[in-house]
Amino acid sequence: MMPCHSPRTVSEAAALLRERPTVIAGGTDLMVAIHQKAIAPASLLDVTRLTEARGIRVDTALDIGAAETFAAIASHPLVLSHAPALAAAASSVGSEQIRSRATIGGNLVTASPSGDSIPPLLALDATTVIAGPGGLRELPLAGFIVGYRLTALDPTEILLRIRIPITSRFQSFAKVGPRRAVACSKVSLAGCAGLSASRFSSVRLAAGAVAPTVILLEETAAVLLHNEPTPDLAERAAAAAEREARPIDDVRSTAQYRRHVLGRLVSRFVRSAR
Amino acid sequence: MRVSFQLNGRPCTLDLDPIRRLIDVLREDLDLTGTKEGCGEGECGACTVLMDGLPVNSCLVPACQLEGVSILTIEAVADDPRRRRLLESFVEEGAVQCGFCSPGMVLSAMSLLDRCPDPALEDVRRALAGNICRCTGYERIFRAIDRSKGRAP
Repeated sequence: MMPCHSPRTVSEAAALLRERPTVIAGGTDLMVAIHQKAIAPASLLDVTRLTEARGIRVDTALDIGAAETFAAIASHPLVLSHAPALAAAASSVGSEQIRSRATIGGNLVTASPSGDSIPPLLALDATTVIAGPGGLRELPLAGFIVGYRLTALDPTEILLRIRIPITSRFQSFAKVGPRRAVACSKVSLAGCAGLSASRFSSVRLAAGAVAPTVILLEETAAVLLHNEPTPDLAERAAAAAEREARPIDDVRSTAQYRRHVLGRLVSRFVRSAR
Repeated sequence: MRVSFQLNGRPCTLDLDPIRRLIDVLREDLDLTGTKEGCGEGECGACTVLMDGLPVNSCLVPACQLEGVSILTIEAVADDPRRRRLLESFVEEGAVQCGFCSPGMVLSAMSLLDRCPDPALEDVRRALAGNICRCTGYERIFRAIDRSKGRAP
């Protein structure tokens, strides 16, 4: 029988991580991989009982435990008021059954280009808090995900918390898939923008499933900055996003379709910004 | 590993492989075959059970995470007179054809009705979005849930 530990504290977890166990949280991806024999863990570390990876609170930032489920995040008053784009993304994940179990930490560590929570967290400039043998370290999310399903996490480390700067800027999330539930996104977009004197004073746009990782659309943001959100600007930004994205043809969609839909989502974001 | 949890309101202690799936524990170890396996990937919802009141895919829950939780399966629904009304509404509306999705449908609906006794159609559709039915076209299932609302005590 394989060893399995459910530590309550980070120090217990850090000691267990020296053995490089397979880390399990909600299990919605991992259990499928294990059942299909894609992976065969030698031992398990269950992080769902880790007190320091639980809880949603606000201090100088909105601080979310990595083991919090999407069900909890989608309905939490602090998330709804400070990070509505993340709340919208959380409520769009999978199904009720998946949201009851799947965690935000699992979504980030899986680092899929279509991970629903990643675009809003990137648009909101979130920071990850990582626990390892040397204690805690912080890493901006943009540096946490380093490639296709690849993170900067060492095997002896775990993702502990996610910190989102408090902002009153406009934010939104949208995703397009074959159906509204239980479907991987073909394209997703999250945006966060400040407007001052009717012009964009700051813009961060993050797009999912149009590149090997979720990407920041920096050229598109540059098109928007200092300009008024007019229908004409919306179309220029859409064209910039279509140029900036690097989508591929795969079983879920074609590159051409993804490019086109991304342009429409960007246009919609600009026209709704206020 | 030894795990203790509540199963359909009764304490249950078992010695299990930590990675064993809840659906296999239910069907193979405990002979509770009301829970069905469809896809085995968390997409179809046929294996839905309630874990601490929330719907989960039992094909995705490892035994090691059962410690201290409360699991409710379709077998307990039939035992409870109040919840039985939901089953009766399914029968009366003809919301069952092959029946393979029905246990999961009923449990997802029950979890919704426990949290929200008078859901709008859109809430029902959203709550059941993770339960696939290839027979009924869903309309009769939605009608059954609507019918059971008026009968809740």
